[in-house]
Amino acid sequence: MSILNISNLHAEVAGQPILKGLSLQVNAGEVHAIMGPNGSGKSTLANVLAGRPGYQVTSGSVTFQDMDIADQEAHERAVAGIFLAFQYPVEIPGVSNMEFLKAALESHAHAKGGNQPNAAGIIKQARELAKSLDLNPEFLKRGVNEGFSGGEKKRNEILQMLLLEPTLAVLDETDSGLDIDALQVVANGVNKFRSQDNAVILVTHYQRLLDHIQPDFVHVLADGKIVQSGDKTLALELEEKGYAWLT
Amino acid sequence: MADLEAPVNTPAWLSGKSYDELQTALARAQQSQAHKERWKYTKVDKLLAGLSRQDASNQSSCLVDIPGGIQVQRLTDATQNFLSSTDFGSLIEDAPEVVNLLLQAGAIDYIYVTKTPDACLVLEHTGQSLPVFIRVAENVDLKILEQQADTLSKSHQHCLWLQQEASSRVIHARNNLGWDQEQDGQILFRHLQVHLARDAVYTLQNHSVGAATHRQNIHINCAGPGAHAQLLSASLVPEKAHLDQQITVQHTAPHSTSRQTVHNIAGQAANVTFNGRIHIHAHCPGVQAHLSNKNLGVAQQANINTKPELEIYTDDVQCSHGATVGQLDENHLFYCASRGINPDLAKQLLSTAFLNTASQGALAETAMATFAHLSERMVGP
Repeated sequence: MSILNISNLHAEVAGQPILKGLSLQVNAGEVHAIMGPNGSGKSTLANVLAGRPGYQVTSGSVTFQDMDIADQEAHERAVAGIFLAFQYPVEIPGVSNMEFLKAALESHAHAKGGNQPNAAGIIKQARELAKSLDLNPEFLKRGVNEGFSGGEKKRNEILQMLLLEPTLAVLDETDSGLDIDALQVVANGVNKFRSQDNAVILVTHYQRLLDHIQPDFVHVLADGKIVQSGDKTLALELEEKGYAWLT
Repeated sequence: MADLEAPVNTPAWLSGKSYDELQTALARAQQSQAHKERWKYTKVDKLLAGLSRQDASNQSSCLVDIPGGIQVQRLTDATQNFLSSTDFGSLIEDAPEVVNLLLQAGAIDYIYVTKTPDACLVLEHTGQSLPVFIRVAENVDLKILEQQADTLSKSHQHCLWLQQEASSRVIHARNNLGWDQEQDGQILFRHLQVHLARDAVYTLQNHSVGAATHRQNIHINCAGPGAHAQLLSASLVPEKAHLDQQITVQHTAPHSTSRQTVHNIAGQAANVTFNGRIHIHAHCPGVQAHLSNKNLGVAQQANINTKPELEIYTDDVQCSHGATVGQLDENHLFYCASRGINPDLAKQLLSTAFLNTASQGALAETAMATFAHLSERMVGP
C-alpha cells in the first residue's frame, strides 16, 4: 500500500530552487533513509512534506495516502498523519509539554470527528512514554523543550511521535547531537513505532543511526534529486567512499 | 472592623508638610516637564474628570476578608487634615494627581499587620475604593489578593500604599480581570506605592485585561540594604482598549535588588504604553536591578510605546534593561501546526504562554484562566 508518492518534485525557498525533480515512493511498513551532502535538499524535503510556510512547490506532485496534499496547510497534513521530527526543536516557554500534547491530541481528535481524549489517559500515556525514552516525566510539566539538552529535545520529538501515532514520520537529522546512549534510546523509540501500517523517512548524515534502525531503502540526495538508491549496504559504501563518486 | 487609635509610629516618609505647602508643591509638580512626559500618552485631565464625577461619598472600602493578626482602622473625617500633615515626599513630584485624588477621599483604611496571618488578605474593589495603607511589621509574612468584584462600575480608582518593615515578606497578586467589552468609556486608575526596609522582600504579580482607559502607576522603593522587589506583570489589552503603565523602581539603599518582567499583548486598535525606570541613587553600591518589557501585537493594527530607562548615580552596580515589540514567532506557530494544532488555537496557546512567562504562583491561577479565555476571543476567527 502506497503511503507517499513524490513525483518529479521541484521546490524553492526564498526564490532559490532546492529540489529539482525528486521522485520517491514510500509504502506501508517501509523505512527509507535519505542521505546526502550538506545543501543537497534533505531538510528542504522534510519541510516541504510537512508544509512549512516559505517552502514553495513549483512543480511536481506529492500524494499522501492517495490524496494530493499540495494545497493542505501544515496542521491539516499533521492531522492527516504526517509527522515531522525537527532537526532543531523549538523551545516554547509558558506552554507546558503536557498542555502542548493535550492540544495536539485534541486537535487530531477534533479533525477526525472523534471523541476528545481523556486528560488523565493522556497524562498516564505520556509519562509512560517519557520513562521508556529515559526522559524524566517531570519534564512534562516544564515548557515545551524549555531548558532541555539537545538529546532531551530529540527524545521529546520521539515521544510526540509515539503519542500522535502518525502514518508517516519524517525524522530530520534526529541523530544529530546525540551521544551513543541517547542514539540507542531514540532508535528504540523509532523501532517501537515501526509497523506494517506506517512508514518512516529518516534524514541523516551518518551511517551510525542505521546500525540501530534497519532501513529498507537508502537514497542519496544530491543537488535536489535522488541520484542513487539501494539497500543498507549503500550506506556502508557511502561511509567508506563519501559522496563524491556519486555526484 | 476594629476601632483603633491613630498610629503611634507614623512612617517617616509620611510626616511634616502643611496644607498650604502641599498645594503649592502640587501646583508646581503638575506644571513640570516630568509630569507632562508621564502623561504623554494618556489624557490626564479626561481621566481625572471621569473619576471626579463620582461623588466621594460613593467611595467604599475594599476590605472584605481580614484574617486574624491584622489590625484595621479607618481614618475618616480628618482625612484632609491627615493628608495635610503628611509628607508624601516623592509622591508629590512623581504623581501629584494621586495626591489630588487623596485630598478628595472620604477616608483611608489603615491596616497594620503585626503577625503573620493564617490566610490571605483580600481586597476587593467595586469601583471607587477608599485608599488603603498597609503596614507590615518586622519579620511578618503576608499574602495580599487584590481583585475586582463581579459587579463593575464605570470608573475605578484604587490607591494602595504598602510599607514593609525589616525582613518582612509580601506576595501581592493584583488582578484587574473584570474587563467588560460592553462597558464603553470605562476608566481605571490604579496607584501602588511600596516602601521596603532592610531585607524586606516584595513580590508583585500584576495582571490586567485592560479598560477603555487604564492607567497603572507603580512606585517601589528599595530603601533598606538587602531589600528585594520582584515585579511580574502580564496584561492583555483587548480591542480599542488603552493601557498606560508607569513603573519606577528606586534603589535608595546599597545591596538591594530588583527584577521587573512586564509582558503585554495588544489587540486590534489597542494602545499600550510602558514607561519603566530603574533609579539607583548615590552611595548605593552592590545594587542589582533588571528590567525587561516585552510587547506582542496580535492584530493588524495596534499602537505600542515602550521606554525602559536607567538612571544611575553609583558606579558599583549591575543593571540591565530592555524592551521588545513583535509578533508571534513563526517558528513556534509552525511547530504547533506540525503537531496538528490549527492556527487559531496555536495563537491562543502562544499568546497565553507569553503572558504565563510573566506570571507565576498560586495567586495567579485565576488570571491565567482569564487570559486563556480572553486570548481565545482576541485571536480566534
